[in-house]
Amino acid sequence: MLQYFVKRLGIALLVVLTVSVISFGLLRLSGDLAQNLAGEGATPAQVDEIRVLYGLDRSMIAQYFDWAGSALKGDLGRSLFSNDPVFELITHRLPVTFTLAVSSLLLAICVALPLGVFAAVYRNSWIDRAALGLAVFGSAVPSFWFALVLIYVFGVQFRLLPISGSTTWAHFIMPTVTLSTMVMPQIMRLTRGGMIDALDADYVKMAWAKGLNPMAVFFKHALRNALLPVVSLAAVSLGFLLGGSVIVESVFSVNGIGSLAYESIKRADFPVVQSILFVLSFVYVVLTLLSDLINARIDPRIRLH
Amino acid sequence: MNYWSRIMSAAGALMLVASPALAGPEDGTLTVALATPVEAVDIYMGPGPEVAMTANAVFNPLVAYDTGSQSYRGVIAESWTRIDDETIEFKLRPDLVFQDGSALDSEDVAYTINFIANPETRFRLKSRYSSLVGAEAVDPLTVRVATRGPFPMLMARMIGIPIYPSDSHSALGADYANWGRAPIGSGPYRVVGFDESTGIVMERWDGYQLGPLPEFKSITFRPLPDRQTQIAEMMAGRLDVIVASSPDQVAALTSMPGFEATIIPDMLVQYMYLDAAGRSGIEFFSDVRVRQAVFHAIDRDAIRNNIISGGTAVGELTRLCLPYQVGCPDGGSPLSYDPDLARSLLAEAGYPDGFDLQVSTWGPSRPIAEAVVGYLRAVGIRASVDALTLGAYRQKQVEGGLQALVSSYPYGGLPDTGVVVDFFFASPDRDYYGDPRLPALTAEANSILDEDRRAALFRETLDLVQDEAFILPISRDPAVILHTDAVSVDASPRGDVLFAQFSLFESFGTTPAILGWAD
Repeated sequence: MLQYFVKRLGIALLVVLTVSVISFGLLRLSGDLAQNLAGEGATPAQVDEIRVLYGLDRSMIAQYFDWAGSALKGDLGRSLFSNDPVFELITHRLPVTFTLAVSSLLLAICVALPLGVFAAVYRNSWIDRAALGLAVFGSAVPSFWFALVLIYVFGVQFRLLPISGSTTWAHFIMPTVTLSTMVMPQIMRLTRGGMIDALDADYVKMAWAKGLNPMAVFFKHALRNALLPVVSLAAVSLGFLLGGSVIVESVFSVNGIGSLAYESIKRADFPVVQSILFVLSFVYVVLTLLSDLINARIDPRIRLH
Repeated sequence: MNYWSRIMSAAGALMLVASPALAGPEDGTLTVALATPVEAVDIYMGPGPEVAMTANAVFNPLVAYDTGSQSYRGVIAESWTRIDDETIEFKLRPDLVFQDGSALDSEDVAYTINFIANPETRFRLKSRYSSLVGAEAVDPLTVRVATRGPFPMLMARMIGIPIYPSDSHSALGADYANWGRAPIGSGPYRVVGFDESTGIVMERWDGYQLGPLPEFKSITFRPLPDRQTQIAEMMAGRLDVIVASSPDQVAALTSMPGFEATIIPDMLVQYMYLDAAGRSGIEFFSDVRVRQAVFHAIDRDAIRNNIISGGTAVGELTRLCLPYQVGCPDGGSPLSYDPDLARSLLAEAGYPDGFDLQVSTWGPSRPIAEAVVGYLRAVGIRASVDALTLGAYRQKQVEGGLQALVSSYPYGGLPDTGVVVDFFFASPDRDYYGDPRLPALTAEANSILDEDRRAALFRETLDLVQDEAFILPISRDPAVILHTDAVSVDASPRGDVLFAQFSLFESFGTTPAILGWAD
């Protein structure tokens, strides 16, 4: 297990390093930062002054190593616009995004798991078809459109929920519902598939033959085994939700990492964008690593591959 | 309690949480949407329309510009005298104070100017102030501002320089970027709350000395980046004012009772230029007939009336400069919409079958570029839109990659034609015209103080631009204020309003703020 852990950790660190190098390079290639900072009306001499002032006259490699060296010490630089420490900007916003992502994942699990189980148990029934319809709806509907529909119905027409902001729990209801529809279909379908496989397995048939009550068969024998891939998916989904809430946060004016990323991309605040990518990729890799380790713990065969 | 009672109770509880006290004249609070969150009420640290809107409510400059008389008038300054070609001396109004009660004197003015002129101070668009050498307090009410050589646009530049209290600002040391979270100014409003999530709360400062007291007891600026969400919040009664960004947004709200749109002339100008110099590798625009053909193909009136938000209320833009800018020559007649003439000019120039063309654009000009491309395709030019980010556009411009550009510029809100010619012709990056007369005329106009000579040079420059079809002034792009009928917007011509969105809460002299409560 230790050897497996070290191997996976090494791969995870390589992924983070690769993401940081690629994102650094792509951001620098997407436009001249000094031109951006100097503004449209600046002369070449003024742009050059800005380039020197912000250290952008050095080679890209030197800039990367500077940034990476500081990042390892917890210093992610400062925003080019607000001059705030990027670390503070991110840690200030991360709890909001984390709350949104976790609540969305919990909601998705609470809806998708029972629905997946029922769809598998009552295969080809109306429940199964309704679950399939919900999954297709969740996968097909753009999140911004669904968000606007929710806003119109619950915020404008009935005025039951606040439309924007993130100051009270009520502010999180519509963003949570919107975001959860992005992961609900996968969890539901994976649960259904896993349950169908489990229900057809010999050990479940044996459980039925032993005369166990249906609840014990479904939940103790079938669901327990069907949940293995769902655990992995849930961990990866959390990473996806943390990074994928940009549009939802923007529509609902939720002051999280997503809206920070959106604003920073719009105005090419490279240190902030770079650091958000770094932090999110780090979180994503850690979650993936955790899910790998959990799976390896549950299923020893994985460790042998 | 039965099932339905519980449901209704829960819904009621939600409504209590969901519905904060609605804004409006009852409690004197105005709620305004910010399309871009304001990280600091500090125009130096974060130049942008939203920051300018909030900062101009809190701070005052030395002078303002009167568009009616086309002259400057004092705000913090009472009078001014040119000492020599590189120095202006300002006399300040006596007994002015900041919102914390500290005196506003020449030390504060000198400190602010020296802060922005300091080469070590880091902030965006610093190049705007590169002509300033610094300032010196002569006595408590006298300050001298020095420039790098004769700088005819100094007065224009001064209208965009808010004055900070030296003691409070300098106390922040290297953390000067935090100033805008709890700023102290001399304007009609003071910041009493600053939170990135909920926005900025300002209260009327009853000690305001430089103009009429505003009508709003307090203002809440709420960050709402999504335009649809802004509309929804306004429909739900939680927002009073939006600065509209598209005709769709205006149509969506004004079709409902209780909402109005008021158009205010602004300084934003939409324009198009072509690569006459051949920097991008294309040759056809070196022929003036081809440039004329392109401009004849574009129906500027239709673009203004259908695409530009509030365009129906602004007249035709005949020059690149605006009539009230110092030195802007009268007259001007851009090439009219005549697609038949465009086709014949193309044929005459040897391009009866047109050519491939990439029309670059960025930001809010994209819908206009798309319309332009449609008009060009109608006369046989196989045009396509090349939509870029600001950084990518600037890089492409510097590298000489633009074949044609549709863009906009607000001239920094400065009332001087020198800004216009400087923007288009001073920098080699932007020289897609290949005519050495343009940078030469610009350099002369912006290095002399003789206003008559400057005006003559501006006329010569802009006539040349028109005759050679280098740049097409497409339209002015006004500000459209979407508001509830509880709010009044004074759209009448005003003495001090240059960039309306910036000036919504300013009040100088006897002129009240643009926004107030409806009677």
